[in-house]
Amino acid sequence: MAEPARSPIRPTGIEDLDLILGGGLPPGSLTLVCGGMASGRSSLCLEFLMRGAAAGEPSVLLSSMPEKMHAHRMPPFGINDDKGLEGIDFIEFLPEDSHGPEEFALFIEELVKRVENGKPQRLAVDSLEQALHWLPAPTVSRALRVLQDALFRNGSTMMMVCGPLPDDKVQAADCVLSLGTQRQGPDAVRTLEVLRARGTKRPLSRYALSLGKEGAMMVRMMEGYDG
Amino acid sequence: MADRHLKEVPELLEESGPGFISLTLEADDYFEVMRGALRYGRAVGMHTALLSSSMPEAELTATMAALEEPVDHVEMIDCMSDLVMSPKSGEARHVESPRLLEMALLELRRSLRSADGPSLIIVDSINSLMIHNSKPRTMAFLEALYGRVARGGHTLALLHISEEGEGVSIPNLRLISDRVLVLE
Repeated sequence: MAEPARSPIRPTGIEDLDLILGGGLPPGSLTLVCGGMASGRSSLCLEFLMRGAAAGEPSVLLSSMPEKMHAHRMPPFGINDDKGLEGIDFIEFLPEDSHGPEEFALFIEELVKRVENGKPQRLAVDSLEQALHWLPAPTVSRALRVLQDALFRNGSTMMMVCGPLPDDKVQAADCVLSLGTQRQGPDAVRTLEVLRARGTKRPLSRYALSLGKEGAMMVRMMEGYDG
Repeated sequence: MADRHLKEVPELLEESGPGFISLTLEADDYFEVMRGALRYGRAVGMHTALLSSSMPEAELTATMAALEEPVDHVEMIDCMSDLVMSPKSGEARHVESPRLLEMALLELRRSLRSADGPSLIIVDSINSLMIHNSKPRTMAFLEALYGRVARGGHTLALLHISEEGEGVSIPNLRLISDRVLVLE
């Protein structure tokens, strides 16, 4: 059967991110949102889903954190009329369900089934940090490729939260966003870097990131901050 | 003498229209020029964003109250309160340090986004920004602001205290401004 015709890029709805990525993300793509604790990874993924839900796109959040905790910990986004996770299908999983190689393979298999059966347009997984960190690169890379194939076949776009990863573990990802902190003396600023973005000609610069009620905003880091 | 600026500054801003305007003033006239700019925003009913790296919001609000200058139409982006551990009202937007120019730019964008149309942006001041940042970094910030002002049809008044202008010259200001007004 012929692949459905797709536009090469679909806006995420996060205005500055779309600008940085040259329009958005390709449908059927996998984006890894890497970074340390409290760097804004979950907020960015949640906004991605909320923007999708607000635009009527079926959106799914798979989380290792209970729904109540999400609602409690997340900033009160105004982007979805403060409706919280309304419009987003929430599926909780236990972190240990994805830790070992076999569990991880089963988890990915289950994820693929959800993509194929539910055909959501947007998904986010928060998070597979432990599994992606501890499992060997070939295992991770192979699993992500299987997942990426399923996403591509179904035109679903996924963001996945993880910690900082070496290059050999991110080969299957279409896009890798690295969130972090840049420090200089007593000052610190959250940063977002696009480490990989398939299908975009944008330069891979570093941006200052601000998270707030209106959603994530970014501005290019200016010369001289790091001395 | 200084009272003249209360009338002159709104007139000059009205005459200039949207764009990036540098106001060069003497330190003694600082509060009058500031009041003149604030009055212009109120008179034309413009959303007014005051980006301050000179004084904390509590100090500015108290001073303006003493001068009987209403500031309820002003949204302040305060880069000083955290630095000097001054009390915060919760009404202003705060940036932890005047060195965090990227964050100041983002807070300003959030402020502009909350307004319906073009805004008046007052930047107080290029001198204080340059106390905390290098000249190239300050200029890069002002150039980024220039782009924002031009795209949004906003009016920006950049305060420049002439006596403290080490490193800032009128030709420098001309490079980044649509108009440089020297207040005497």
